[in-house]
Amino acid sequence: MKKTYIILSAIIAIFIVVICFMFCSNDEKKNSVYGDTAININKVELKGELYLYSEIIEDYAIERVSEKRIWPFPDKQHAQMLIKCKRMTYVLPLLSVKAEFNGSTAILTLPEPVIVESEQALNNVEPYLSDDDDYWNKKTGKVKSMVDKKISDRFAKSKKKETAMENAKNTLRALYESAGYTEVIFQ
Amino acid sequence: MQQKKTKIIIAVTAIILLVVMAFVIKSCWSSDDDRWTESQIINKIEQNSRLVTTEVELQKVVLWDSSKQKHQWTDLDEITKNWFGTQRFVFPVTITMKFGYDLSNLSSDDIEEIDDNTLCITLPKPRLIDSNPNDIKISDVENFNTGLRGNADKTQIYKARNDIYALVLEKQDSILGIVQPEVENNAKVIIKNLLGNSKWNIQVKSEK
Repeated sequence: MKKTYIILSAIIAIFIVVICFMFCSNDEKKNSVYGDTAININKVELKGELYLYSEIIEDYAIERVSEKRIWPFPDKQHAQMLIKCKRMTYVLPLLSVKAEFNGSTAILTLPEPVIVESEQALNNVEPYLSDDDDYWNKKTGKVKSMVDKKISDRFAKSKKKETAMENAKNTLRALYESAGYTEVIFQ
Repeated sequence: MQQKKTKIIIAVTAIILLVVMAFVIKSCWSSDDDRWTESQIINKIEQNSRLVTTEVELQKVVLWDSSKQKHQWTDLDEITKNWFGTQRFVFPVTITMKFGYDLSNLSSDDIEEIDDNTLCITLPKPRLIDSNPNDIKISDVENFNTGLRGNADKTQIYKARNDIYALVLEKQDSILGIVQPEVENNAKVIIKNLLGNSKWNIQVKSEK
């Protein structure tokens, strides 16, 4: 009788532990929910850009709207939120660089660096939230531009542009000096 | 009789202890997922000199089917939803990938004078420099639902777009393999453009 109880208890305990570990380790990815479609290459084109200075910036914007309703119903409040994570980069368009040569001197005219944005994947975060999806359907333009502006404003600072320009000069100077030019002048 | 009771109490206590232990282990594991990543704590700053030579535009169709979803036993909400029908939606995701070279490690050893007129530049292995998924237009999303299931909400659409973007990024080496000749050829065009009017005849090659 004693033995039966011990064996029974041990079996139940092992069963519970096994079940618990099965649930603990069940972190299977849900990617199978997507159909296995091909990746098509639409376009391949020449792009002469020199990446100079990048920052990865994450920010969010909330848009709140008050929906007017007929008396005696009170106005209804709506809100939507969008989070974006972007890599913002100052880029030098290399195809616009003008180079002239005078003996062992290279004279370079550089264009202004431009800002290139690319969206980054968020880590386990729902990027969009709203209180009423039907109400906000096709009304996401404003919240997108709000968050884009916040991120652009954080990045577009003159000090960062100067750093980018300095980096462009250093990279091009190294290239031309390696090509045998003793002096590189920037105009 | 008293002994029996004691044994039952001990057995039940042991079982409760094991269950509690299992839940403690589970909570320890899940706390790892909540750790903040570097990008969440502070914005990442890079000063770089990376040369982009080629831009590739890719498209993948997102086909989402709720009947294929694998659920954990705790996803009661999702399991219940599937009793009332199937939710399917389709939309295209366009991704721009930029390939090129990291010039930060380029040294004078990589630039070689072959003769009085010819200069040979050896670039590192090409790599993915930047990528960007397109913005989603809700009008591009087509819903095909059965039963009582409603259309996909924006949270689902954004999540699907991000999942597919991550899947395409995982295939970056295969994509680079396809466009590598173009990447190398474009590098020659750009460098020749920069040094083209000089006295040198320029040769450019990539590390294999």
